[in-house]
Amino acid sequence: MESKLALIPLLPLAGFAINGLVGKRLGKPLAALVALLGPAIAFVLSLEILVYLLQAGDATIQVRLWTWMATRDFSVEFAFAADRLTAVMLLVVTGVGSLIHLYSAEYMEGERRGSYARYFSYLNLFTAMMLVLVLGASLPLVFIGWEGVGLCSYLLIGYWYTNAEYASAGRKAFVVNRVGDFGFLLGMFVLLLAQAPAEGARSLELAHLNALAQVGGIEVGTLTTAAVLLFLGACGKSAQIPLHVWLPDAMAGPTPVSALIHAATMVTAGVYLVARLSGLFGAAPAALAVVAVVGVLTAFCAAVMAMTERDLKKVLAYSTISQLGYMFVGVATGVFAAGIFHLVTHAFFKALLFLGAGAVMHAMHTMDMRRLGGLRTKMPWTFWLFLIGAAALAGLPPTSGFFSKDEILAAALLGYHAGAGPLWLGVWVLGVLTALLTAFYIFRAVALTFLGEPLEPTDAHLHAHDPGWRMLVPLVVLGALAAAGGLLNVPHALGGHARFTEFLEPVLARQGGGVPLGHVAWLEWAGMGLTTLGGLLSAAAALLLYTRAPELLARLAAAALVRPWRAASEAKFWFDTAYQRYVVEPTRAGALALWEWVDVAVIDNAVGGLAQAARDLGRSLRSLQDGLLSRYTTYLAGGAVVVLMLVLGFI
Amino acid sequence: MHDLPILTMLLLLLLAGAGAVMLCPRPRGDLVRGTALTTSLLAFLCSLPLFWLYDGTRAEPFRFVEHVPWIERFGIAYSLGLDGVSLLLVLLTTLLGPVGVLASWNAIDRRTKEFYASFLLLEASVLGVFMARDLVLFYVFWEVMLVPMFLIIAVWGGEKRVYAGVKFFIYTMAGSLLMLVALVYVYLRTGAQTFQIAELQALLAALPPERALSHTEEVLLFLGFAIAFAIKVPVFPFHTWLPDAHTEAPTAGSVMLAAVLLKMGAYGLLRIAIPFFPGGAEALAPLAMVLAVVGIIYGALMALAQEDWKRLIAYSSVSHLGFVVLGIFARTETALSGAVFQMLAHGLATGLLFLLVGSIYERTHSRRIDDYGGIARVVPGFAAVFMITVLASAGLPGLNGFVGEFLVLAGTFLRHPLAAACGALGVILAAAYLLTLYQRTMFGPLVHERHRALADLAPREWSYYVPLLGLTAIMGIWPQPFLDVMGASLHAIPQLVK
Repeated sequence: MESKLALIPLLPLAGFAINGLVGKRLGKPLAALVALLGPAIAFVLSLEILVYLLQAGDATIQVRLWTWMATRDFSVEFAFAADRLTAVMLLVVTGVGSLIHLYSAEYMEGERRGSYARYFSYLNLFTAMMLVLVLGASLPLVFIGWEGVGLCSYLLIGYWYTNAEYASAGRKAFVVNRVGDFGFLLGMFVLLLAQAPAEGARSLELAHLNALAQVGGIEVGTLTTAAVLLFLGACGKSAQIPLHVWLPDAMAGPTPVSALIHAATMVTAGVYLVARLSGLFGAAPAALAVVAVVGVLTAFCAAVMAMTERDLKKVLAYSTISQLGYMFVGVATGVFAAGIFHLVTHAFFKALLFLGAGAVMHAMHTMDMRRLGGLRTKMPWTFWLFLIGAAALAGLPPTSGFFSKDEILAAALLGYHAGAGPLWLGVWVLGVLTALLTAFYIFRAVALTFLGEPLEPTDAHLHAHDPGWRMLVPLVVLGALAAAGGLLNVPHALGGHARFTEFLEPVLARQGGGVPLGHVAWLEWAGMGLTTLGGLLSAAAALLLYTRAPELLARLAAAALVRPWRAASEAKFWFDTAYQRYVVEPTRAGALALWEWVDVAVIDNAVGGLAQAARDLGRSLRSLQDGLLSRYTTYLAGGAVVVLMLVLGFI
Repeated sequence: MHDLPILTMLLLLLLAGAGAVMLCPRPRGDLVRGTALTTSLLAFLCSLPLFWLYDGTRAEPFRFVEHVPWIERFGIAYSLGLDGVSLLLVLLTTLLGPVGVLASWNAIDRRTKEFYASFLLLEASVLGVFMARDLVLFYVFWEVMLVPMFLIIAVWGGEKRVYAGVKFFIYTMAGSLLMLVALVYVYLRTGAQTFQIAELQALLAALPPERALSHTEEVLLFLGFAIAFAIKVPVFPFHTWLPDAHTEAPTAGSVMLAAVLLKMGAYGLLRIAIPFFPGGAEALAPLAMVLAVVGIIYGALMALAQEDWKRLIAYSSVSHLGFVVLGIFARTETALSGAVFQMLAHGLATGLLFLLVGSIYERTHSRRIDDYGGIARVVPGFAAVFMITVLASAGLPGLNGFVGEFLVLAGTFLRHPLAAACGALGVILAAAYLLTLYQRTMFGPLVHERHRALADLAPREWSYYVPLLGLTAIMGIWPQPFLDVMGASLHAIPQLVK
């Protein structure tokens, strides 16, 4: 098993190397095949690991490769570890990853040979890095994957780099993520500092950190600081407020990339990190409260932003931000399995939605919903599959999204009921509101894209058709998973066995930090009933308003109650404007001013002026030349001292 | 094998090479270049085994020691030797020797003989600085280095080469003089009969109470050495010679300056200033760390404001060397290892960045960032090498820049959390200015139609890009052998002040 574990990230890495070096010469079919093989074989290996872990219970498969860096203060091993939580992530990454590789083979057909190979080499590198992130046994190892996926995201967002705007979007993603990574780095440092050297070498191994936090080996204040800093990293990668601004722009990348990286896998890394450190976060309740608040605010605000968006992919991007917020709420309730379950079902239905949007893009060459509409009859497969995804996103029963979203909301409600504080009631209320908004905006998108008639018809409508089998197969598989994936975890309140939660139970019990909530059937039923009913009404309202009742829609939009929200939604709560005005521009202007006024004007002129003065002085003192070497040296040295003193004094 | 005066042989080899280059008939440019390349390659191959011969676990600090009395009246000796830190810097220097020659192959087309002779002389004198165990010998090599470097900038440089050369010369000279005064003072004050660095250090540490250095003396003497070294590093605000020198120097000169010469300053701090005057270092460490952090941020902001490709990279050096200084003055073992590792990593990454500018400048004769844009499609090989280099420089984990920064910041954080936290801001800014540079030069639509015909990297260029990138990656995922080599040589430093 150990060698297989090491092989899992190595396979896509090999694909990256092959396609990166000779992909252009391979030709398109072979390049795609090479790229597909890596994740596909890794998927099979992950299945083997899953089967092994199903039997072995709470086992951890570990493989130590070499010492990465060791000093007398601490050491970091290059080591991988896999338990049941890892296995879930491995299957999502390699499974959804393989499907999207297959889909890409057709979607990217129109690219030149070199670009085609470049695309697949990046996609493989991404898969490898994501697997390192998931498998890393210590925070620094996770960080390799963490920044590695960020790099691939950067490269793929800017894949069509001749478009300056796309290239900028990639850079924005990288830099904003770096802000988060700054937190990640400091979080690691705090954890190092918090470990007394007397207790043996300091370590950043995940298992060690969980254990240490659970036995109270780190003081709570310090632990909270570390957890919040690590969460800042998670906010960057998982696009949470205030670091969410890069994700909508990231839609500049090819659509399969949006599906894989910016929906199903990379952006969930932050949620995985919190779950992976459940013991650490669990021992810092204040940090978990921060996670919950940021999560639910993000969920709500991003849903508001999605309400007025005209670009289909961006609707999905805001919805991803919003759903990631849910996942954070899930892990923050202490029911870590709930967050992870939503991560899994979201990977299914959001990848489905993105790939569906990709099919539309492939046919229509635009994502502007004003130019879409009426595609239901032209692209029936795409329509019905997209509809399944939309229902799952809206959390309508019996799709997977219903089960996973409901579990998160139930956890918040049960937490409040169990006396965890009014915070959780607030979280629940906002969570339910978000669910209603979600149902509205996604069915608005369905209506604008597939129903009615386009506002601005184009020629593409005449030729629009469903995609070929390489794109359709992944769509169908994901459609099935999105529809039925909820069966993995039917809650006890509905007479199920909550198998997924049960499967993760031993991991979270070992790591610690979980909160036992018990079950209050009537409360769960009430919650479920409310969101289901609300979701259905909300979805129906959207369909009606956007297909049959434009006047009513216009009147609603102009209502006094709605107007400020619409303005906020259209301006995306002014985040980008504010960053541009208060961070980016002042930095640039400050840098320029510093350069002109300090570097060139003050320091340079001071030195230049002094050198000139010294030269003049030297000329006038020429009479002092007497040929004594020692005296010259003294003059020179004295002069130098004076010059430097003056320079220092000037500054 | 161990009795072989291998260090002297290295120096003589380079000097002989420089002589041979001068003896070549002037029209035979190929012979000149060939001789220079052979010499520098031989020097690299001779020095390479030292890495494996050096056993980091043995007790005595210096290996490959040679000792010949020179001016016995003052106890000055021709004394060479290597410890873990200087060994790695020697290898970095000899590695970049042949790289510099290859990078100058077409770029230097006048006074080639003199250029390559200067270049080999420069390499030899830099090696001397890292090898010297005698303070006077160290000083001599330090001063000798100035001459070929000045010539390389002022003769073969860009438009403002003379200004840049003179500025470089004046700054360094001013520092050297301070060092000289401090050096003489130490000698007279302690009544030492030796200039051996190790012996002087022991002597200073064990002065009888009635003759011990006062605190003021210690601080001033420390300043004397430290300012000389700080100018070389350069530490803010002594850095303004650097953008001019780097920008105006020819490619090989910039590479040597950035990769190796700046390290002489950091090396001097580690080898001389701090061990000699630990009390002075202790007193000024807070100031030094503040300047280091200011340098990190300030250099990065300056890099953001530049329109000249080479000048931008020069300022990025100010920022990156800030990490080195921070690590040195934080004086935990981790931070020190990180600082030395960062010297090597920066040497490779910034060396590569200058080589890349050199490659493109040879083709277009412009350093203005605005003149580029959209050339990634025309020169994909160049774009790939540039991408990896930019990532290494920005500290992407898995490449070597990360290891240095991580160890410096982690080690610093253990004693000075605030300084480390401020320094870590540089990591964000590095991504900003490096990716902006990359985007403006490589991405977007093609700016100049004439760039459509740009030639991608030639085999000569690949011959040095590939090994340098390989080393960058190896040091990134398997840095431990390097940390092991330097480790033992750094143990003593944190214990100096107790």
